[in-house]
Amino acid sequence: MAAGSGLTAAVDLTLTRTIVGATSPYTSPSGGAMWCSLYSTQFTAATKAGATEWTTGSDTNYARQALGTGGTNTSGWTINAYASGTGVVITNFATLTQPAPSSSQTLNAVGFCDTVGPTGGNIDLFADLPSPQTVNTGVQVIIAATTGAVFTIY
Amino acid sequence: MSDVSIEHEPTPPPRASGTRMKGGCHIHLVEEATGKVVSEVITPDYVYQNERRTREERKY
Repeated sequence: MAAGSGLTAAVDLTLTRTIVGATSPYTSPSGGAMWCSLYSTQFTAATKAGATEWTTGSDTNYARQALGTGGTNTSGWTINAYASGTGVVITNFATLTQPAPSSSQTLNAVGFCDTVGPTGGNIDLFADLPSPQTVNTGVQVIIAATTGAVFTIY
Repeated sequence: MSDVSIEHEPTPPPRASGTRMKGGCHIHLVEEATGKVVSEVITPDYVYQNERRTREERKY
């Protein structure tokens, strides 16, 4: 299955409801708070759903990482104004560092969700990796500030 | 840092109608004890203007 990215299928639906004023609309992350989550399987371009998140059962160090900085996880994205030929580009404000796993994990997708978890909530954005990566003990997954996560709405 | 060659598709042009979101991540797997980058991954839809660099251009 081809790797995908962007909004999850569920958010495609609820955002559409929001835009046209239908019932069961999109619910924004409370206070703008979002967290970065890691997955061992892909969402895929076709499905945009259903990836398997790392668990604290397999990796006792796993925790969704808050976007933002300064002890708060609000304003986790820098949102640029619409530019012709580009669209609206958003980038992560601060570096995200996932603690090194307690046992080797497989990384196959990254998500951005509205709940600290480590389970549950809604996954708003995702990015599948081109192929699975093994994350051994002692190795951190790092997504650098500004350049680490970039999404474009166009 | 690794010497991974990085090439990306250009940012897609805006459509005449509708909207779409795509994007991705530039991920580093880093040895906590040493700070050494053991792997570097860029997801397929990732586009960042300053990341259009070749192997020779990547100097960390």
